[in-house]
Amino acid sequence: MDEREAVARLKRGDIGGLEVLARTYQLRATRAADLIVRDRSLAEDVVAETLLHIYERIAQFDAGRPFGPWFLRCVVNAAREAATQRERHVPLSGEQGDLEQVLASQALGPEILAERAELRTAVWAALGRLSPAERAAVVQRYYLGLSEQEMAAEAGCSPGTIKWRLHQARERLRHWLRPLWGTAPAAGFAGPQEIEIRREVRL
Amino acid sequence: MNAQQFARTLDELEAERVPASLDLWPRLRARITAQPRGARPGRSLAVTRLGWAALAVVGLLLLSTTAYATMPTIGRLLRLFEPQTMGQGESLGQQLNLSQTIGDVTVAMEWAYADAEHIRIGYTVRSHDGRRFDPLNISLADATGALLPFTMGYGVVGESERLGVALPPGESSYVQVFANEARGAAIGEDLRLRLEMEAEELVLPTPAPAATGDPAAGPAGPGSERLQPLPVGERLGPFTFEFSIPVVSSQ
Repeated sequence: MDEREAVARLKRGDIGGLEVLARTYQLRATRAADLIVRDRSLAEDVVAETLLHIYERIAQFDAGRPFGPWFLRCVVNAAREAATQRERHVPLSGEQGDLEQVLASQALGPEILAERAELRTAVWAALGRLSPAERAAVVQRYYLGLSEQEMAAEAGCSPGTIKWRLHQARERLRHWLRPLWGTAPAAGFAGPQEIEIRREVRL
Repeated sequence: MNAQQFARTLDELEAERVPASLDLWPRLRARITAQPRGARPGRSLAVTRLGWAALAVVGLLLLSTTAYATMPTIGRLLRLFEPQTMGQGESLGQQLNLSQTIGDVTVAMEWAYADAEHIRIGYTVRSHDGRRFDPLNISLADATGALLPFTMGYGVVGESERLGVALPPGESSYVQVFANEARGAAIGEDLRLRLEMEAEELVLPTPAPAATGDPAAGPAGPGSERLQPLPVGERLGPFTFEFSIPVVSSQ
């Protein structure tokens, strides 16, 4: 059953259509949500609630539009709201300490950068320092592979706003992660000259 | 690092954190079939989460109980987040075993540690009905009533493969670290402390409803950004604990 048929079945009240859509997108959606909320359990809640919300309102969905981008956008928005609420109550200062601990580690010389685990730990901790809105933008751009134009269209704002938001997030990440790479500029986070990377998104 | 390396790192991170075997469908189907379509609107999120708890607790109870019994979550947190200073886990500090229940929530002070520089408090928050409550407004005071500066905190809720724990719904464990600026407590002496905190229910926001006149737009259609007030859950407290722990040499 393809996606269009799944949506059509769901519109007829057949939850088999929802099962197809859930199994198609649940993994990518949960991983994207987890990058934003930084809590796997909450990420699963976000994705499940979004799927249930869609189940209730599928009659309003235009079957002529692709389901995947719309669903993932809903998940990102819900995750951003959940992260905002969570971080309002529980400051993630522990993750800040985690980043400092990683960067201060004497074992982290350039030769150790091949150790992907340390790199992942540092990037994860640095992401935790971004605001939920910044994390959501970074996830849309670098995890889900949306272009700045697509992000702007979906957010209903100008491409310049998205470009600036991403630029700020990149600058902050580059600043925090600089100890890992010395003072050399980070080519991929260099601003307007950045090479356009369109990652494959199987939707 | 370029954009490709960064994207690859994000992929690797999430491949570690969320396994490819993830399957949300069984609990989604259970929720949908348990309640007729059309009856869902108007139902409170708290009841929704309770339903989740009832479904999930059966599968997780044995696993989490086993994990908890063999190595307490607080010890796992200490080893993961502070391996250099707290690598010996909770064996360094003192078991407290204090608890207080308000409403449907029990806060258990399980463990504490103090050296000349820091004070660490390990505690667990449990709701009786599976709702998730997060700690809020935590303060630690010494015997004179002076508040000690909060340094950092970390914790776990739900499942964590890195920690090797699977907590039941409504349960979360935390370690809070404070700077030890308490007066009159030398190494080897007891430090009298008073901890106060509140617990607030985490109510998961739901996507905004579709805009009238633009049904194709879905929960947040192109060209519009509907901002909804964040839902506020039940707040309980203050939970208050008074205890003494010895000050030990720094690790």
